Amino acid sequence: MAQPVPPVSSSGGPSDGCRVSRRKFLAGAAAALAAPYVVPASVFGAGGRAPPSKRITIGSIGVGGRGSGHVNTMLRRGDAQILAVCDPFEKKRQGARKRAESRYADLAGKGEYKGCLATSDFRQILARPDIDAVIIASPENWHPLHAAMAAAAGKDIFCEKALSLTVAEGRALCEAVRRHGRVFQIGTQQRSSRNFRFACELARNGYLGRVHTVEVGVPGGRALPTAKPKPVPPGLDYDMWLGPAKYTPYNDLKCSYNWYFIYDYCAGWIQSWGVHHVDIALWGAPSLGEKPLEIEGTAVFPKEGLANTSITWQVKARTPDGLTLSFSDNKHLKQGCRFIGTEGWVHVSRGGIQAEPPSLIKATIKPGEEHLVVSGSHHGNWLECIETRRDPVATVEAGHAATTLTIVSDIATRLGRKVTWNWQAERFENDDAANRMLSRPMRPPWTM
Amino acid sequence: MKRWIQLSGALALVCLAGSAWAAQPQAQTSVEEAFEQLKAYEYGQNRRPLAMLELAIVRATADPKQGRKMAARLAAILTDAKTTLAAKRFACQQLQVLGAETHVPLLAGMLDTAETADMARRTLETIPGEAAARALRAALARLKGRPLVGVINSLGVRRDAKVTDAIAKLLRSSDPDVAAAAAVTLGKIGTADAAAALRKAQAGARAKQLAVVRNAALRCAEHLAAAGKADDAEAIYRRLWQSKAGVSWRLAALTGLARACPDKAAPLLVKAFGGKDPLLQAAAANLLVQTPGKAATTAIVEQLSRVDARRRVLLLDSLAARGDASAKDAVAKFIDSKDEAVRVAAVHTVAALGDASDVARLVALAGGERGPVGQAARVGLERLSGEGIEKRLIDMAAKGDPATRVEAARAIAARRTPGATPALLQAAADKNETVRLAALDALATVGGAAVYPKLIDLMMGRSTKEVWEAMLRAVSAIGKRIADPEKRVRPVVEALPRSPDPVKVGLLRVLAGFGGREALDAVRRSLKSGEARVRDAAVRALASWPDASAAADLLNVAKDSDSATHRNLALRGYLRLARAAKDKAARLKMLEQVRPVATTAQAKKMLLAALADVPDPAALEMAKSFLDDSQVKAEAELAVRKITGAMKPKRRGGSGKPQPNSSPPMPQVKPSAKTGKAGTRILIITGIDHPGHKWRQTTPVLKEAIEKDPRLAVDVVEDPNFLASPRLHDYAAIVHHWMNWKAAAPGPAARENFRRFVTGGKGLVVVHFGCGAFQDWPEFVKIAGRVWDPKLRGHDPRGPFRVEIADTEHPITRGMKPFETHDELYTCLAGDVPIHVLATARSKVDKKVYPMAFVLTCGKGRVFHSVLGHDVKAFSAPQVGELFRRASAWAAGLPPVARGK
Repeated sequence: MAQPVPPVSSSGGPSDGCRVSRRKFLAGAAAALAAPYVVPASVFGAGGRAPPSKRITIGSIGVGGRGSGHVNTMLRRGDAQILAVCDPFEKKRQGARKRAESRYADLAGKGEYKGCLATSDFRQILARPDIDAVIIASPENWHPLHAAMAAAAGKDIFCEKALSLTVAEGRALCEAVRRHGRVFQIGTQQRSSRNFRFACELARNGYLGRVHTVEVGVPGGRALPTAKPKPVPPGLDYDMWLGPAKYTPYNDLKCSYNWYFIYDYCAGWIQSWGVHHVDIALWGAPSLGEKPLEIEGTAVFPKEGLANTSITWQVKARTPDGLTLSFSDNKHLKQGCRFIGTEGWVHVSRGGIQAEPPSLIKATIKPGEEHLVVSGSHHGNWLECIETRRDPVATVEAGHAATTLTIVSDIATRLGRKVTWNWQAERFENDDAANRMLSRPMRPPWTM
Repeated sequence: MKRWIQLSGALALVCLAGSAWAAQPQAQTSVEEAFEQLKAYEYGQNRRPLAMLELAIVRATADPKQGRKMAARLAAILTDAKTTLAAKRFACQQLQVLGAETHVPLLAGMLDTAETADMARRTLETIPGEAAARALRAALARLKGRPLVGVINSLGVRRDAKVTDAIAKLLRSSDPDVAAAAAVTLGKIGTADAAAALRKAQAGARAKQLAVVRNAALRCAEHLAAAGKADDAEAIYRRLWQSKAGVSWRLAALTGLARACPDKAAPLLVKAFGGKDPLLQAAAANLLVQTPGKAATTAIVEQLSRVDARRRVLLLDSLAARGDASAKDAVAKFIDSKDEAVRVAAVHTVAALGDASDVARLVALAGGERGPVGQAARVGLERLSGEGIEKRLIDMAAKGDPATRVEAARAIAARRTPGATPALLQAAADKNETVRLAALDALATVGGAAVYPKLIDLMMGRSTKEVWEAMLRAVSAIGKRIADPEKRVRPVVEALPRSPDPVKVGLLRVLAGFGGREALDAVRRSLKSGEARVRDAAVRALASWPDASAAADLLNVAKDSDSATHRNLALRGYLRLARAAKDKAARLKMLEQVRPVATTAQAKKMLLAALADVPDPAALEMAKSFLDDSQVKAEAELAVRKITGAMKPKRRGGSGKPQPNSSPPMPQVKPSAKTGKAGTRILIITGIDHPGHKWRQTTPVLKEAIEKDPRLAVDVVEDPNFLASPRLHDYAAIVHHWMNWKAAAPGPAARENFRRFVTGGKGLVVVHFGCGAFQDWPEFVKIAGRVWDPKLRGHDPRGPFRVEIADTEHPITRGMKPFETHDELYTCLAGDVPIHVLATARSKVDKKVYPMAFVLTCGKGRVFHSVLGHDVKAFSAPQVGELFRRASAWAAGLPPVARGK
């Protein structure tokens, strides 16, 4: 399994008065540097339409439920243009294509109109020199392949969460993104929401005292019935749908939405919902992503049926200095992320923010304290960074860390024993079987 | 497809989070039984044994012995000829976690059978050790096509350097997938030999393969750099940089160089930054930022004077991020640039890199520059870090030209500079007004208990209104930060007697911000002041008191004051406190006290408005008692209605999040502005329709047309589910302006309520495509008279046509003349309920005559139905609006044509 690139020996270091240290540089932590002051903001985000040469051209890979939402968002933006859509389902890609072409036909009086390609093979999109960037909303097992190949093809990337099905693929994707200098935003859009940023700033700047517990609650999973194998219906490229997952025959149940709960494609809500609030937990309590973690957890899995990911779970991860992450579904913990410290707590979710003492809600983070990157729009932030070539608010490494934490939590519940996770080595300590669960072989021709 | 998703969705709901799906209760299956059942497993069968084994197997790895036992069982599955393919695939997958060398021969054997090759290969990939590696290597020679690609991939995952030569030969395979896989694997192996093979493969390679080979070379370079072979890595990157490859490859080369050998990369980064390609420019700027060392800083600084304004801004920003102070002097020169963006960036960067010696410069800029540059200087002063800055700021606030002192004071406030208070206090008494104001504002932020009494003393002197307000703000702000209530209030109270009247007025305001017993007593005393403006200030202070301790005083003022203004003020303040009372009972008690005091119309209206928000029978009674009072009858009616509505039992809804199986909250009705004045209430129900019908636009037009009748007040609700509400029966008639296009119509409760509404004797007006609602409800035709039949031709193309009046004696259409309109001439109604046609039109398409408006009785109810009204234009003919207006009055039980207006 690939290791992170270790430091290269060279001149220069902290003693030459330069604030940039080698470790930060090699970790790709450009986002740790001060947010730029004079980055020109895109004026064409909403309403106004940029001239064709200033629009970012986009191909959308995966236009099911989530993907078509991204297409619709981009269709409304003046600084982007959808040139291609891809989906193994003919109906979905034709629907997306028609929406794009109809929209651009409406606008034809004001600007150029280009046809929109609809294909079942994403490589056609990657081969297009006139496409600058891709949005990826395929199932989890496809994300690293789509994204890494897009990076190698010179495209910038917006990729839905979770980053990957396995830790190994996630790491390989981080390397691919950095290798090719691409701008990558992962779809953990809570980072572009003021309440979440503020809650993390409160936690990081000591407004809660010493943070000792972080609680994350997300919706629980579900079971599915059994489904009979069927011939692949016309209009579905099943080979492309499966991608790297092992061959199992087609059935009517799994190919839209329900794949979230089937382990071959995704580890369930513990992964694909969990990643949102675990990402916030890491943003507000970063040592959870740096120190070794003792993890143990239990889960209830379906006893039969197509679904084999957890329905309800309770996981605890502890650092050596006593910081605990408590991660469960809504049966055990309230939806959202709660940072609890010696002097107070703050709870944040998409529904709002609460704190104890309540006055914390009105606190102002002072100039000299730690400020997190400000993004008002997850898509807008990505498009702006494509211009400036800077890291957006939710980097590939951040996505990898959050995804990894959900994966190792899931592994702990499956193993039913305590494991110790080491971030630097990116492996479990003293547990071969657990480490073998960090990667999965792929169906050919696919490989990371 | 959709049906299955819906079905699965329904089943998932049945399952519900928290319960595992179980068809029937089962005795616990043992692992042995599960393995037995597994053998015969086919896809689509009950997955119970697999589900059980998935967890049992992985759990068994806790104990090496148990793990080996499980692995042996899995191997037995694979060797058993009777095992299904699906079972074998499952077994191979489970072995990925606990396969060992002993299993290699079995798996290697499976490589030669097409249907088991890939499952076996995937397991071999995961088994550590030489045996598995050998098996895979051996397969290289035997396999072709996809299976060969799989083996090449597996060897790459394993980074098997021993196979480099064999793989290198495959670079020239005629199978493009094999050639590509070979390149990828060499990239993962990442040795110098692999790199050499990849280099040879670039010559003459086709575009697709060339891309794969280049990418693999980059991966090799990373592995070589990690192994300490920076020179080898550098060679790969330079070759790529100098090649004819496209810009994204050169970007990768540049990035690789910057990581592998930063010092050597710096000149290249500079060159790229100065080049033509915007992608490389921006990337080079970012890489330069991240490249540590003085060499990179120097390179950036050198570029500053050579590039255009846009890139200069990027570079200046990079220097700020790098934090290398040696660049500061060079940067400072650009503060005088002609380009504003450059100036701003330069100021920002100087502040980021600067220290105490830059305070004077930044203060001067903040004071002397308007717009973004001055603003940047202010922000910079806030962020400046290092020794001695606070002292410099305090010195600069104490003396010098006013603009400087003002900015220094501002910076002190922004930075919360400690120890600045004496200097600020002095500045607060300065001759120069701008200095005084800035100092006072700063004190408001940083002042503490020590300066508090001195500030109050300062208030005694003469000053302009602006300064005066600033002093009040400062005293208020500082006072609120003082924790001890006595220390907060006492100095102010003690200052009152010796203050001139204008000062008293201000201090009373401050006391109202504090609250508390001592403050209240002082305000009470001021109520009796001989000075009118002091009394006035006291009343106002009471009216804005933070809690109910002032309630009794306010009531007294409301009762006894000579001044009508004060009586109203006091009443308003009292009612404000009542609103904030801790519970309904407390609130009611306070409102009851108002009753005897509310003698004027205005006071009664205020009381009724407050009562309207208390859902309690006692409040209802009090509101009702005003119904006979002609001064406030309308307000009383409104209050009665509001209280009655609020007292109805609420639906279970709780936190506002939709719970499974609870009803959604009732839709909100938008009331007419005429409510209370017009007697008869009509409700337009809208909110969903065919996309071609812009109900959001037509509804206000329809409402306005109906409300031209002064007797009618039209409310609007944008949700047909309101049909289920008991409040439906508050209305005399409803206008049905909706059609559930591609959505479910309201359910049985709504339908029954609707039916009862009409048959019970109220009125209904159906508009245009309203005839298409409830397609799944056979009863609807009995209410609407006619309904849309999708099998019939829908309508003439939208356009002009003439509407004839079929019955000029009917109250609705009496005296109306034929008229022209622009609309869709509907030809799609069906039904045989008896109706009476009031208006018709002849289709241009089939020349037949169709009804445009008709009436019928439904039980005791009156129904008017018109197919007119497709869009705003269709409502523009005045007769159309008149038709609906008359129809609404008729449906509501009033004679259609209203006199007057």
